[in-house]
This record gives sequence, structure tokens and C-alpha cells, in this order.
Amino acid sequence: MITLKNIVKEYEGKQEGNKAVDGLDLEINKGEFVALLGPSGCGKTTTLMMLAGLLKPTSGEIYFGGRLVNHVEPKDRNIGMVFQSYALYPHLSVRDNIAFPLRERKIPKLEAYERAKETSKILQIDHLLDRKPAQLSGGQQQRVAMARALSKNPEILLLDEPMSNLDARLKLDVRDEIRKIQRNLGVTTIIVTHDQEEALAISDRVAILNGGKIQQYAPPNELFNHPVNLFVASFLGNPPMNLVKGTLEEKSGNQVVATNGFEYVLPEDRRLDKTHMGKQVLFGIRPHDIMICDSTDMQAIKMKIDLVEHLGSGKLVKAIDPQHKLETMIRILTGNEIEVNSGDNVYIKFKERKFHIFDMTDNGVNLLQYR
Amino acid sequence: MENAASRQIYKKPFTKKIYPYLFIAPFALLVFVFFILPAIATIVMSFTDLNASMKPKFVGVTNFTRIFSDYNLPQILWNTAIFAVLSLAISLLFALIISIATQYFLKGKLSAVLYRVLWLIPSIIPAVVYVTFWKYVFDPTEEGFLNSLMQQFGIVSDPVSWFTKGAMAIVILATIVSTISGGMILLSAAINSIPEDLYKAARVDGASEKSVITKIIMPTLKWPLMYITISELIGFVSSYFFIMLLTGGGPMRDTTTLSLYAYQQAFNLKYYGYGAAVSLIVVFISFILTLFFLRLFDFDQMIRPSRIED
Repeated sequence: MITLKNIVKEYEGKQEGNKAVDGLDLEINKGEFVALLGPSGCGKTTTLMMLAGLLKPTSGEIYFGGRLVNHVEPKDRNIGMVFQSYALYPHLSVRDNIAFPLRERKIPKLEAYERAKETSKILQIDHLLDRKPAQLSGGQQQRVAMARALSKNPEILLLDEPMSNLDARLKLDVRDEIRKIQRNLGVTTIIVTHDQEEALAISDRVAILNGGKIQQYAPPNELFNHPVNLFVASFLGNPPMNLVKGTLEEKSGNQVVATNGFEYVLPEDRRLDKTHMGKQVLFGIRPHDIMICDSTDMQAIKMKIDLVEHLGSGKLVKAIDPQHKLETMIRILTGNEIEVNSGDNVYIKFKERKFHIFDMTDNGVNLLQYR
Repeated sequence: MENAASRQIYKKPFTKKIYPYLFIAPFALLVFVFFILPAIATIVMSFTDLNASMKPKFVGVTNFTRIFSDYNLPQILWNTAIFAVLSLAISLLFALIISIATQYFLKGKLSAVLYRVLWLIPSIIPAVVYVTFWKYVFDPTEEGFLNSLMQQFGIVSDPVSWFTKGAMAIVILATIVSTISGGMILLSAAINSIPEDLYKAARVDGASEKSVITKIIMPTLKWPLMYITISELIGFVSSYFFIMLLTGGGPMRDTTTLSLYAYQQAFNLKYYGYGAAVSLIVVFISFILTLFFLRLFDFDQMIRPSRIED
């Protein structure tokens, strides 16, 4: 198990208080696949470098299974690492690249080559062993980098944006393969990525970072369905969540979110504490949780369609308030069977219990997160 | 849609055609006047007995046969070899050590930059000033820097005549101190171009410093090393400037190299024809050495396209 306790990393020369990583706590179970996800500059790569031992935390502790490793050299941490650039040794053959970590451990040449061959078979690159890295395609180089990281049977595999240099189609294949290999070997794996789809698809748990802090650390579906705050909610999801400014009010015994364009009555079981009434909030709902409906439906809102984008698997409908009272455009994801055209007036309704309410007076905390 | 106009073949106007030649012309002229003409003149001259009387007569290969019967030749060839080989070996070694030390071990440190700048000084001061400095250091009288220093510390009582025994060593020393920086700059730049990730990967893989140097840094330096070896070697074989200023080839012929000999024959003794023949031998030796090192460094491999398959 890997434990990070209150990790802080300040780079030399940066202004005081400008921390790359700021009080980060993280626990990773043995054999788990964890993604560090966030926008650039969020501290995810710095965190990975500290796990690798290539950077030392300014304060805080890193434990690998109970052993404090803050000052342990990378080579003594029993880790394998794949870099974004792959960092293959350009003048060594594929075989020598894969055997390199073994040879540096004074493993005899023949044995090292034998193990390199075994590892290369797992990654299906055993026919490329005599090539030089420059003679390989991007996908092949990526496999060689994986093989080199795995050849020493590491306890922990660190992946720094390993798929960002691959084309979209190859990414999907490689992603599946990495997941499969990780399962088979049972190696604890930490991947750094800015690609949310990749993170959600591949990992057991995802830690979303922003400003050097973990915003939420949870399994993918929980992150998606129960974001703890506005950052997580707006960062995840493509197309992004609709966010509408409003106020929490109590009206004739009901709690409502009053916006300029509509009033949404909260269901009984989603009622909030009375102390929240009167607060400025953002009402959030994902595009696929909005339906186009009849005017007679409960809580139907009249909208005008501004634009329809065909996504292949469905349509992305952008709707505006016909009276222009609602400043925000509403994005709706519908199936292809729904016939809509720009300029149409339609009614929309929100799927029940799929909405979120973010408290703008408290850094966008999701008031419904614990349900 | 196809029509007659689009199918018509585009013809380059005449002015466009001559542009490239127009741009090249001035430099081609310079190259012709200052490189090709002198080369032809030298070759022609080497088959004549041109001397101070300026009445050349065609003498066939006499000059060349005379070189090989010249009783000075063995010593001069030996001097040339010693001078070129030692200068090259030592300056390459130092350039390599300094580059690795400052670009790998002390990467990004201010001290490393300052140290490299220090090494650049000898190559930017004028040769005459530079040689005067060395003459002062090794001056055989008590005024000489080294002699006065050693006398002050009581190491020697009488001034040492440095040039009598160690002329070649002094010549080599002065030469390498001013040539190291050239190689150093190229090698440092090559080391600097190695991506940081490779070092990181090596640290994760537990590579020793020795492995980093032999498996990551040195292979990167193959081509710069080839270039430096060839260019410096040609320089050493054909250069006589420092030697002429420092020792004039002496004492006796102790520091006379082939190119200095050619200079002396042509300009001191005015045997222009013979001097030209000797300098052609210098060119021939340089040419052979260049071919040898291109082979040694497997130059073909660099210009061969790499093979990429999916």
C-alpha cells in the first residue's frame, strides 16, 4: 500500500505560497490502478515524480507499505516508469533497452536477455528486439517503454501521460492492453493524465487534482455522479455539465432553485437544510440528464433551439431561453430519433434526482454530495 | 472541373530561373578566386622549379622525388605525427572531460558556465599575443615567469632553458590550450541536447554514472567527435602558425612539421616550386586521414535513412 501524508512541494525560486503540491493525502491499495487527473499545473506530474523519487517533497511523508521512502533513491524503490516521451535509450537496441534495468542490477547478460524476451512477449514486441528505437513507430516505442518498466518486476508502475503521443484509435487499444497487463501482473499502477476519458476508463479510482490539492478521490462512476464540488463537476464530462445561476428559496412549503428563466422544485427526498435558504447557488445538470418533452409534463421549461450538432451517436442540442432571461445556454444530449431543428420551440425537463446544487458562498461545495 | 487553362503546364519565367545562380554568383566568384585558383596554381607550381629568380621551368616530378630523398624528411614526418597525434588526443580528451563535467555533472550551474567561458579565452585572443604569453612563461632567462617562480621557491638555482629540451611539449601545450574550446563547445551542445527524461529514466532504472556516460552520453557524441577529430587533425597537420611564432621550427629541426617545412622552403628560401610540392603532400596526408576517420566512425551509417515500419 502507498500512503502520501500531507505532501507539500515547493519549487526553488517560486514565490512563497506558490506550491506545486499543497497538502496532498492519498492512499493507494496494493494492486490498485489509480489515475491522477487534472488540468495542467495541478501538481499531478510533480506528485508522480515524488512517488518515483525523482523529486523530494518539501514536507510530508511518503510510505511504500509502511516503509518511509522520502529519501530513498528511485532505483531502490522497486518502481517501473513510463515517460510521456518514452525516454528510450536511442543508441541501444530494443533488447538492450528492456534489459537495461536488469543489467544495471548486475544480472548476467544471458539471464537479462532471457527476461527481456519474456517481457517483450507479453507486450507482443518480441519480433522487434534487434531494432533501434528510431526504427519503431510511436505505438511500438510505447510498448518498449512499458516493457522496460515491467522487466524488473516492479511493485509499482508509474505512467506519466503514456498515451498522449498516440493517435486516438491506437490510444483505445493501448489503454485496454495496459489495463489487461496490469490486472494479470497485479502491479500497483499510478497513471498521470489530463485525458478524463482515459482516466475514467482505465482506473479503479481517480484522484482529481487542482491547485496542488486533491479535489476528490473516488471510483469513476462516483466522481461522475456525485462530484463533491463545482471543480470536479465542471472538469468531468464532455460536453460539460450545464450550470445555471440561481437562489435557494422556500416557496409555499417547497424548496426551489429560482433562476432567471425557471424555478426548479426540489423533490421531497432532496430537501436541503433550512440554513441554506437564500444562498447563491449554481444549479447543475449534465446534458444527458435533460429530456425534450411535452408542454404538459411536470416542471417543463420552454426553450428555443439555437443549434443542433450531430455527434454520430446522438445529437447535441444547444437551447436558449426564448425570452432571453436565462443568460446561459443549455446543452442537451439526445438520441438521433428525436427530430429537432434550430429555431424550434421545445419543452425540456430534467431527469429526476440527477441535478446538483453548488454553494457559491462556500467554494462551490455540492450541497447534495452525501445523498 | 478540368479546363484548358488548368491543364496548361506552368512555365517558370526566365528571371526566376536565374535567381538561384544570381544569388550564388558572388560567393562562387570568391571561392574560385581564393580557393580554386590558388589550388590550381599550387599544383602547377609543384611541377616547376619556381624560385626567387621568378623564371619557372617545368621540371616534371623532380620536386616530388626530391622530397623523398630529403634527409630532413624522416624527422619532419615524425615531428608532424607526434605533434598531430598528441595534440589531437589530448585536446579531445580534455574537451570530452570538460563537456561531461560541466554539462552533465554540473548541469545548469553558474560555475559550469563560467568555467567554460574561461576555456574560451585562449581561442579569442590574437595568436601573436597568445604566443607572446607562452614565450614569457617559458622564457629561458631569469625574467621568465616559470623560471622566476621556481627560483623564488628555490626549486632551481639557475634558469632552465625550457625550449632546448621541451620545445615540442611547449608547442603542443600552447596548441591544445587554444583548441580545446572548439571541441568543448560542440560536445557541450551535443550533451545539452540529450533529453532530461533519459537521465530520469536512467535514475529509475538504477543506472550507474558509468552506464549513463557510456550508454547515453558517449553514443550521442559519436558524430560531433568524428567532426572534431577530422577537422582538428587536418588543422594540426596543416598548421604551422603557432610553431613558427613560438620556436620557428627549432631548436635545430626539433619542432619543424611538414607544413612549416613547406612554408620555410617557399617563403624563407624562396623555393616556391619545392614548397608547393611539400604542401601538396600535406594535402594528400590530410585527405587520407579524413577518409580513414570517416570509415572508422562509420559515416555511411549516418547518412543512411532509418527504417520505420508500422
